[in-house]
Amino acid sequence: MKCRMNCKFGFVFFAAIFFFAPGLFADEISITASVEKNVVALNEYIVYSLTVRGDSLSLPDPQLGRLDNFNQYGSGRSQNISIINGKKSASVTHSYTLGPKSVGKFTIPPSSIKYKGEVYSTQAIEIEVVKAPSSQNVSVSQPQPRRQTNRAAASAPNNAQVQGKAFVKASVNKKTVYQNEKLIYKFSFYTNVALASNPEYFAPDFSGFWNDGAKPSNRVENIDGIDYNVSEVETVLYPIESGNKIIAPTKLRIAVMDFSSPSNLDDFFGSFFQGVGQRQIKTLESDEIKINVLPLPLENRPEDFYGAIGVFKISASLDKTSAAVNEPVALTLRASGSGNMKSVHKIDFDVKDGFRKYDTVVSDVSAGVKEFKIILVPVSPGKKTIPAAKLSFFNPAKKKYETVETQPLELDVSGEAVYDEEASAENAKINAKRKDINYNKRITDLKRYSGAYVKDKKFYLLFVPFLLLFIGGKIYFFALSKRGSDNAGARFRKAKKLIEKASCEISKENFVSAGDFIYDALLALISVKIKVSPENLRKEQIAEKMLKAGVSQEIVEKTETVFETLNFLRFASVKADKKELRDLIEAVKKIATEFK
Amino acid sequence: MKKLPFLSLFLFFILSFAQICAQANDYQTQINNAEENFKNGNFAAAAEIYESLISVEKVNNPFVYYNLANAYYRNGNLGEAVLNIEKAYRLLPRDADIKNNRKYLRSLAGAKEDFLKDFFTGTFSLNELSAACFILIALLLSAGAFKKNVLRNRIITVCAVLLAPLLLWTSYKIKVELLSGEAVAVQTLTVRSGPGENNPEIFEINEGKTVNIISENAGWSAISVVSDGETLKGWAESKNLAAING
Repeated sequence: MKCRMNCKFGFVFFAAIFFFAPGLFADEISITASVEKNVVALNEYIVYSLTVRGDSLSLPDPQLGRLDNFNQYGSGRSQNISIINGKKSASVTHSYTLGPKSVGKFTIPPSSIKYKGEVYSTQAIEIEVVKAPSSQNVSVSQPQPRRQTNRAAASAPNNAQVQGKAFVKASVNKKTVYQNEKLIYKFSFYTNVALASNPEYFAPDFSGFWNDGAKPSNRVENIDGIDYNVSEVETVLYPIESGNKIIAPTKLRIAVMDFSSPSNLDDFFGSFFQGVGQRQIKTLESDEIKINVLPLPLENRPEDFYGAIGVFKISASLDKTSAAVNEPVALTLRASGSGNMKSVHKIDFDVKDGFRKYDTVVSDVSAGVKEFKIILVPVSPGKKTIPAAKLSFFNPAKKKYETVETQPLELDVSGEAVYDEEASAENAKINAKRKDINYNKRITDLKRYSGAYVKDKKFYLLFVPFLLLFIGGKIYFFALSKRGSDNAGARFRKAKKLIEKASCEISKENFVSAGDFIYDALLALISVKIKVSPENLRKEQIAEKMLKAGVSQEIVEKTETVFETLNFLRFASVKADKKELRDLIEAVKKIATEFK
Repeated sequence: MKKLPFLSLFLFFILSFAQICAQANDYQTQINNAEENFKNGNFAAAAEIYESLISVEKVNNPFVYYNLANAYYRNGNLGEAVLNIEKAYRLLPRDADIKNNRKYLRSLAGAKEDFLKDFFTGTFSLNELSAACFILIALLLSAGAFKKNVLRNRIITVCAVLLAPLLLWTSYKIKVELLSGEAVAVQTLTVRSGPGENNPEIFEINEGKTVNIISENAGWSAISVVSDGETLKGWAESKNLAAING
């Protein structure tokens, strides 16, 4: 049993997580509805407030349910915005002034908003409407018959639409206004007849105006000796754009009691107080009103003018006069005055170095007061001055722009300077707003660039000298090597000449010289064969190198014999004879023939 | 009388120098006018002055093309802007501003980045590569002209090793920049299957896109363009195309 309970609990727990988990990650938004009282007299009104709160700055407008049992006199809107550490949140309160039409228990149906595909609704609210207290003379909606004085209510006021002793009129506080200037539209219902039920109020079309809500009120007014119950609805309007605007007639449907007899039908309104009457429905209509909306002048408009219209003053205060480094200090800038308070949405204020400034929280304190709360965190010690804040506005009465400013404030900051590493890392980031091209180059020296070299014939001409150099070099070295290979022939020729000289010397019987010429001729021949210059030849290497050079053994031996014979003739002081020398010449010639 | 030829020569040089100086001053005035117009937002007038410098005065300067591209971009002529920044890029491919604007303008025209092609076309200009080839070939020929020794052989080896890839690189640049007939669409191109209005439209090319001109026929150009890895071919009016190498 216990296990079963645990399993059940587990299931519910996980089911709950599945149900609510998406909500943990979704944008938070809520709507709540409230009324100031749940029991209201027939001659009173209630303010029905819908508050939408959320993480977004663009919250949707709520949709009201059907309000068949109430007159809707107007609506107002107030908004609080806060942006703290980059997290945005807003709350918007929509106030609807409702007047009950009859006695009984009624329900204000749920109102709703639609946000990102989800619908959020309020609870329905029960309202009990009770009879108006008899002691109260002033009736909001259902005036009690007033005692007729001696003076007859024969004539109606100017510009009023009169129907007997019940009539309406509409007026505005001024017919020429500036854009965004406060305009009060007043609708008045005068009556001294008995009404069967509360009148039904049809607000006119206020398009072209920002409707900031309406408030009904009651009073008694004596016109030409007759007391009238006057029910009034004052609507605050702000013209959105300049130009001629028309406020259409306001309609009021009333149910009156006809106490006249059938024979006296033509005197309907004069016979309200006779006997028991019949219920009759009448519709009263006010005149349309023309409004001339002027644009705000461009002349002398301050740079820090953000659209405020009216007459305002501002004040600044700190929640403390001394603080430690890194301790938050709240600066409150309060704007108050008459005019369009909604147009005061920004106050020019910039704190100097030494503070971290957090985003501003704006709140409507009351109808004519708005507060801007700024959290400042001092980051360095010392006497700090918080500079003056400025508000520029257009004064419609004086028809000119004015600027008011606060006094600078002093703050004593103690402690040591601190540096927020996270903030510095954040400061290091640059968020590019958009990409664009880099700006123009400043051309001071118009250096000309040639076209492609490869397309220019002159470029190829540059190669010619190097090509010529290369070819010349090749030819030179070829010639040089050619000359080197001709050395053998030259030496052969030299050897031949030497032999010829030796023959001559023999003829002259100059045998020693002849022997020397033969010796040199043989050396020249051998040096060609073994590729060693005659100067570098050593006798003992000759045979070996000749064999290496491929000379036959027989020639080598013959060469050695010639050398030995010549050496013998040279060094042995033996006189050579002609024949011996001629034999040597023949032997050398034979060797030369072999070498060739 | 003997000095007359020398005097004439001297006068000729003086006059030539004066003419060159006057011309330079005239260009500077035009450039200043163009810059002033650009600052004042008269982009069309600035572009006209730069165009005149290029087409009439035959000024071939990457910064003039760069400024002209900026003027066209500000004036809303993306195609002309891409054309002129490409011309600037070919003359001075390593300039940071030219590279940045080319990248930005090409991205606006929808061109995709090709890192390999950009490396081979954007690291050195064709003239730089040609000059490097010339130096290496000159060295090679000079070394070849001398007697064989160790230094000569080393010089020849190094030059040959460097020259082989350099010649390939230069050939690629010549192919891309001179032989391929790259052109920019200065207007949105309606590409048809043949040369003439009577041929059906087969696709469109946005302003600023680079295409290859294959051939021309009576005011119509046969073009090819690569889209999503596929090469598309067709005919477009030549007046709406501007050759980068033109």
